[in-house]
Amino acid sequence: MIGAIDRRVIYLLVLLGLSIPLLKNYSVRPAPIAAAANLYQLVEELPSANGRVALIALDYGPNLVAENGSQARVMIEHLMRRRIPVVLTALYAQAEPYLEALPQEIANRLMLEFPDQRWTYGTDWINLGYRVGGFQVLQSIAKSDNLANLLKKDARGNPLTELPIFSKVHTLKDIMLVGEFTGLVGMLDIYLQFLQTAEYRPPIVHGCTSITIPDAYIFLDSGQISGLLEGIAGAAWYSELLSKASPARAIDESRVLNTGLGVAHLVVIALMILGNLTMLWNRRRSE
Amino acid sequence: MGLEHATVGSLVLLALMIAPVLYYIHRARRGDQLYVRRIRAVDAIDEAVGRAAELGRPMSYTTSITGVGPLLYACLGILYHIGSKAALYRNKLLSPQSDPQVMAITEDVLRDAYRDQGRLSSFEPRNIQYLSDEQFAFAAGYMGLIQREQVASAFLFGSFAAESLILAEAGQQIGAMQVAGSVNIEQTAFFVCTCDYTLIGEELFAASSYLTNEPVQRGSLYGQDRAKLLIFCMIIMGVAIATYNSWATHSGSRILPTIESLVMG
Amino acid sequence: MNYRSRLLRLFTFLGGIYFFLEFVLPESFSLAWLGAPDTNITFGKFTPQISNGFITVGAMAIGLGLYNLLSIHGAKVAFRRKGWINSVALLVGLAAMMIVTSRDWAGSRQVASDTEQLVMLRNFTQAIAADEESKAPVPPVITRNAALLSALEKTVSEVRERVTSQLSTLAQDGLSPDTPQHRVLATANAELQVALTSVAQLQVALAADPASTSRHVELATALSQAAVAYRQILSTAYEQSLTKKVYNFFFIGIFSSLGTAMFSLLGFYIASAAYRAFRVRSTESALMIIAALIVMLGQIPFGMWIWEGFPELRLWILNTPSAGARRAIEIGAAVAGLVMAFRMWLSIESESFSEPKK
Repeated sequence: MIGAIDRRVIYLLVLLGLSIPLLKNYSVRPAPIAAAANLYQLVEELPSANGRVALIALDYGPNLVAENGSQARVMIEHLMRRRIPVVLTALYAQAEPYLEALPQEIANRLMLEFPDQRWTYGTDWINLGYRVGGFQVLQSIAKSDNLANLLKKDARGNPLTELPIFSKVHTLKDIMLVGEFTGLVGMLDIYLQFLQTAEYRPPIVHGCTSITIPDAYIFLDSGQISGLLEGIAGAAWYSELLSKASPARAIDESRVLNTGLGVAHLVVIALMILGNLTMLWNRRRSE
Repeated sequence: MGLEHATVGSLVLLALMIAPVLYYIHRARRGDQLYVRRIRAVDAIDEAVGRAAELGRPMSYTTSITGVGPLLYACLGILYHIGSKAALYRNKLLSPQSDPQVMAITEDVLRDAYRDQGRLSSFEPRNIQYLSDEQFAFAAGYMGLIQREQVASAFLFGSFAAESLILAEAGQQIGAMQVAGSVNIEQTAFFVCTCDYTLIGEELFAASSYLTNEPVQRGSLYGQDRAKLLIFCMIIMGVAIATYNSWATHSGSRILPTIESLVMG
Repeated sequence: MNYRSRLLRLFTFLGGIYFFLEFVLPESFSLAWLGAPDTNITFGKFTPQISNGFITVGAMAIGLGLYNLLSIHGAKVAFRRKGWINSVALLVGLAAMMIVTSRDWAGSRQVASDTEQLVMLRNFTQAIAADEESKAPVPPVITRNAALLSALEKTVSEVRERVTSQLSTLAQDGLSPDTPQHRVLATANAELQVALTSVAQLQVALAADPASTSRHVELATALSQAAVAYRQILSTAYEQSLTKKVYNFFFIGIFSSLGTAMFSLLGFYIASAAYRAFRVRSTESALMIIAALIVMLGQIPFGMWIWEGFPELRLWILNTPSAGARRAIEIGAAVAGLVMAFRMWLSIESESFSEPKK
């Protein structure tokens, strides 16, 4: 009988499969993901902001930054390219460092690509910080008729009434798009449930982790979310579309991560096939 | 659009779903026998408890990141049953916790179980350990705990997130018999791969009724099934209406109101 | 049924009835039908306070967890039980993190309160102008302007001193001019100096005409700009402080890294679980494996090299059989959850939990 492979050998194979492409910076063209392409089109066809904003929620921690962080990066970049002001927030405390660092990093890259243009805090984006209260925050935002009064200050302590980005934002109707990036169980549900009124529901797009893709498809199919980024694969294809539209754009890490993940998938598939062949061989021999 | 406040349709639907539950609870309390089909995974719970007792090794029961709510209540029913058996067989039952509120409730339920078996003196509150409310810190603590204690049977019921595979694989590695149940479908897939028996979705809610044979839980389970039958009929009606409407749009005939418009107003 | 049980059931019902009525009743309704035509009831207006109460109870529950940790691990250490060294590590880590987090919180609060001075002066400036226009019964404008000038002089010099000292400390600590933090500080400092220069000019004008409020709007704007820039400098400088660095070491360096490492175990465990469990033992398991292969190949770049149709097929699997099955399970679980919630609200509990056995 052929014995089972020691699990340490399996772990080593997975480690090699993941790390070699990442260390070598090896990347291949990602597979086309229809949902990511549709989301790209949705953002591309958004009307001019005219004082309205996009609310982007980064509800992920260091564990999920590889997937959700990559998704948030491409989405915020696209919104900034389209000059749609972005308001960032989180209902998850561990996301706080990313709220400050991510948009600044994207703005810096865009200013390198377009030296004659500026993207500045207060005009192109603000950070509302981590908000305590979970669904109550969203419920309050939905019901408020003066968001600047409700939310009071940004994460840096600046009163919202003094920030240009908030000059025409008063109610939920002034939020033209909501982006929720999370892998946390139940987090998307509270946005869908509470960030709406009887008269208005902003289009909600979702960046999910690979594990929650089947769950997210239910919401996409029923129309409760208007767009979806599926794990790192979705972020990589979105990035590909951005690069097609802007050839001078620097390649981001999602393509490399996606390739590494692809190699790891191949390792798992090979192990599955090997396991079945082993089982078949042993069965034949014992017969 | 959203449903911020109830519409007449939604209230009617709510009443139609709750009424069968109350009716069958009343019937069950009256003594009527209500049939519940066997679920192999639920039978495996007793098997796992027996295995641990025979081997003389402890058991573990965790609800992981489940917070206080209806799901926890369902899990407590199973915990009570396992705790009663643990008291009866004088077997150690570990219950690592992630939420302090759940920990207090768990302690109460287990104390009741031990008391009802007349073994209150054997009850050890120290076995109900708070590890961490941080997901992966809890997973690390759980792994360490069950591997040090070499548990023979592990029960994982409740709401799980990414740590589910870590918890289940840790039990796999020490050869524990594992029975799991979660309403999180993504994690159910991991449990199916790594555990011996898995309860899927609402089987978790049914397990409690099956194990305790309580009239309230049996009646509740029966009523839920009738409520699901109602939803099933609504789906059939909805499909029929949508099919008719797509024909009527082309032929210019009158379009019927959809189920959504009837319920949501 | 004893009184304790009755009281619990009553409070449970009362707690639930508020949220039930909030959902059932409209946002706002009139009591005209009761003969009170001018009375409008907004039922849900207490929801934020009640919700805050839940958060408070949850926060207090942390104490339970702390007590449990200290009692179990403290006893292990005290009685040198098996594995007591691990308990020492836990308790030391707990204490260290609590101290570091408290200091970081205090530091952040200090930054916030330091910048409040400029904001308060701005608010006072606006109040003087508004009260003068509305002829409010307040002390004379000359007195108030004198107080404002005195406070401005003191605060502005404190701000300049503090900024100079912060920047020189950072330069001594070796903050490189190439770093983004340095650029942010330089920009903020430039903006602050411009704002403070405006303030100084307006102070001179105000000192020359202490009964006037004509420049108060300008002064308030300059103070606002100064506050924003000052806040930016102090918070950037705080990020470079020892307290913050120690906090970052504990939180990002240890805690987050350990969490990420634990999460990464999933990748390895999935591989070993797939190797062990994905065996063709029946028709159902064969279907499961085929579906898994198609979905995996459909989302990785290499799947396209084998066949270009994998992404479409993957989409069909996710949209049709998978979505259908998941919806069914979700509906079942949701109905069960709804029924359980109603039972909890109406206290229709099973006898095993509700009453003590005789």
